[in-house]
Amino acid sequence: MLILQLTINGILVGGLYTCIALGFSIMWGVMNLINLAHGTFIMFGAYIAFLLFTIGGVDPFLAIPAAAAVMFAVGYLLQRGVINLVIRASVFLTLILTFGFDMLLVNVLLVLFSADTRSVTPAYSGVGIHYGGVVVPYVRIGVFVVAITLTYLLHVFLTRTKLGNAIRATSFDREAAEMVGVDVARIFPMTFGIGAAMAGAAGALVAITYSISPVLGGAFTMKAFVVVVLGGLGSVPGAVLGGLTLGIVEHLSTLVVPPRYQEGIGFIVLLIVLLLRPSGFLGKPFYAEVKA
Amino acid sequence: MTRLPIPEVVVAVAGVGLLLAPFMLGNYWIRVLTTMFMFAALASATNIMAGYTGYPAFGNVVFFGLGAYATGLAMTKLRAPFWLGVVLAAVVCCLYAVVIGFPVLRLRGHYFAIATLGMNEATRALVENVAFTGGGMGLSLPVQRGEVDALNRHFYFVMLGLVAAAVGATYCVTRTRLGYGCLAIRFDEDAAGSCGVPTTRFKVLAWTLSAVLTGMAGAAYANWVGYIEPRAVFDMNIAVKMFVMMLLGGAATVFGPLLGACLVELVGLMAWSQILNYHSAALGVIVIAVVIFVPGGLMSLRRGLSIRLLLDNVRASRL
Amino acid sequence: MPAPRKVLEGHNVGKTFGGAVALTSLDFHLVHGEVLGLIGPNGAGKTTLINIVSGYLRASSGTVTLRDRVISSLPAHEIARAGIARTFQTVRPFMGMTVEENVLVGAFFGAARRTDDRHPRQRVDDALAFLSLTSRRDDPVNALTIADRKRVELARALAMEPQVLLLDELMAGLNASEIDQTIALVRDINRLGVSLIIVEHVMEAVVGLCQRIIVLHHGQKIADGPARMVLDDGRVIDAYLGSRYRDRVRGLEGKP
Repeated sequence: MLILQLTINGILVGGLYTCIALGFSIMWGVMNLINLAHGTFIMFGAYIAFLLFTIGGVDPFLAIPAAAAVMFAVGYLLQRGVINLVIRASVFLTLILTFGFDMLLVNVLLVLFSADTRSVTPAYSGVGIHYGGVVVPYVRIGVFVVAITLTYLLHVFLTRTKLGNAIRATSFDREAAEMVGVDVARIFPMTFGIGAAMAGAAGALVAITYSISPVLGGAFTMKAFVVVVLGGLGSVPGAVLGGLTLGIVEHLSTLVVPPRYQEGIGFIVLLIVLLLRPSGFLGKPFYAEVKA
Repeated sequence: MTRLPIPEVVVAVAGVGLLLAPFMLGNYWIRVLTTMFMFAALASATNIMAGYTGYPAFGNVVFFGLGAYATGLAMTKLRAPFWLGVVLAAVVCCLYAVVIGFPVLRLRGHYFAIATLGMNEATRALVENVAFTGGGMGLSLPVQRGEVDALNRHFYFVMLGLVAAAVGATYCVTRTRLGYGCLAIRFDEDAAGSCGVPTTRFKVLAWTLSAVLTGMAGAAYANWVGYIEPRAVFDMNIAVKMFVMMLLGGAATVFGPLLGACLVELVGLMAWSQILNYHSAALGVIVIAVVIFVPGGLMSLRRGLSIRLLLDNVRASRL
Repeated sequence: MPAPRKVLEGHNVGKTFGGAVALTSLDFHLVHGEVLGLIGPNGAGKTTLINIVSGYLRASSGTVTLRDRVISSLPAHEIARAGIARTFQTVRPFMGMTVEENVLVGAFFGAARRTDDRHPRQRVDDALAFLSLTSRRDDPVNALTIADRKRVELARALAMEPQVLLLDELMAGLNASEIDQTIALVRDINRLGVSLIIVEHVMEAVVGLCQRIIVLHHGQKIADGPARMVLDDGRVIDAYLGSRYRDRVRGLEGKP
């Protein structure tokens, strides 16, 4: 019974992990940009949901479009204005750049909201399904459903729309995409914007699930890493697999190790995957050979 | 490959000045300089792996933490003297780098960077959750005997010695086969292999050297500060500072990291007092500006600074 | 006359990438002091073979020996130190370094068995002089033309003092006079005592330099013998050269 509860918890949180990882994955896959500020983008989305909830009484699920829209604008402008300038620079320059942004953004959040943790607790928070000793809060199910829906929508967008396919083409081979007429200079800000929007939406979901604080972004960035590496870069189905796997492994591991090691479990999984199969479940092997 | 960019006389005078400084300055400035030297040593160590060999060991701060804890544990549990603690720190870091190096160094670029990040986080989580190390509560080192001024001077010289060792090691590396091999690895690892460079061995060597220097800095830090906890010594902010200082000063140059450390620390000092709340933001803005306008670091400005140069840098990296 | 010494030999060399077979049961050898041509249509497996010999890739089956020493299981840098140097199809000098520094890498890390005890710096000077790069030794490589970068790559390879030099499409992208100069250069390298395998599409170079030619097609050897004979072989003409080439060569030689 405990195993069932843990597995269900793992799957539900796995959906959220997938959603968290998506924006990160497309930024990395398309633009070869590892966005260390991703977790803080998520926090921004969370705080947008928090503000709308505390000031306007808006249900956090309904805050998702707002969070996504705001973060899309932020991401688009950021890319257009600043990141575009260094897109061809080396690995650690872009890593350092996004870390610099992270520091800046965290500072902004700290000034606005202070480091105190906040929560978003809608009226229906405590209620859930009770069945045979297993408890599944409605909120968690809601978060899972929304997360999977967003994932599906992104997948449809990437595979069925013209812009989406242009983005995928750029992720496979930038030069080839340019040669068939894709305007890469426009694709990058769009991709960054979409990635930030996904982060914003995931942030609203995070606000429902966890207590939030400006400094928690880093943990989510790490989770996104693990999911992307597990599932394979540039693959939405891979992100789903990766997210669910991480969620389940994290929860089932509490059977054998104390819960406080949960955070460490993620890193161990990351290291094992990196060493054994850097391309992940469904990723493309050549991404593992990125020139510095 | 590397000539001293400034005349020997200036270096000699500066050297003497550095040696006399702690006897002439107040404790505040001695501490400022000590911190600067520590970071200069860290940035130099990072430079050996990331700058010269081209492997962005973003999580290299793990060795700082390992060094701090190795010394801390040696001095508390084994009642070892300080110098033995430092030696132990060096040994632990050396082993860690060699054992983990062989598998992790098969990765390149982003993947290597992430793996080192994961290493740091995993090691921190481990140290935090093991009672032996004091866990999340941290570890207090034995109190240093002696009066304040003498102690301050003592650590000043320790850190000065460290930065001299780090810069010296870098200089020696650039003059030897190891230096050429590492640069070859950085510019084209496969071509390097086909020229006869034993790539795996050199990468592990470079990383071990980097790790040992970083670890010794961690050991000195632990002793200086007297109390360490996982979040403080396995801190990504330190990791970023190391990288930023290296980049700002100039990666793959002998004196670049030293310059970068001095600059960042001095700016940080001024910022700290003026804009307390925006300390992180200020550092963030500096980072962004450096990456965009001066990716080659200050050493690349040796031939002159101009608006033209800054704009060229931007143009070179943009889409 | 003693039988010619084989400096390099491959037995049953095969290579598959996942499901795709790149090379099948290849037997080949290189005689000491000769220039061996390796020709065939694109995708035939020529560069793959070079990559296997130099250790850039590991063979899926078979062995390669260098003077009775099995090298196919060695890592690339060991093979380099054993005496095999190579150039790349896409010219790959070390971009962030100067000409001299590039050649220094070759001198420092090249063949373990030295024919003399020249200091590495001396070897660099000699290699630079051989390739007429002495005046350019301090130039950064990324400021050079492709043709000059090829010379840097060659100088670097020579500084390694190889027994065997593998050239992968050295003539690609060169104009007519550059080709003539390079052919003369390769001949000079051969005269130093270096045995060569050259992968080429520029037939003028093949005809001008090679004593023997191996022809690959779809990963298999379809011809292996003296140059004249191979170039006249019906299968080779069908697979690669084309009858117009044969006619042109015959016309030049005054054959019917």
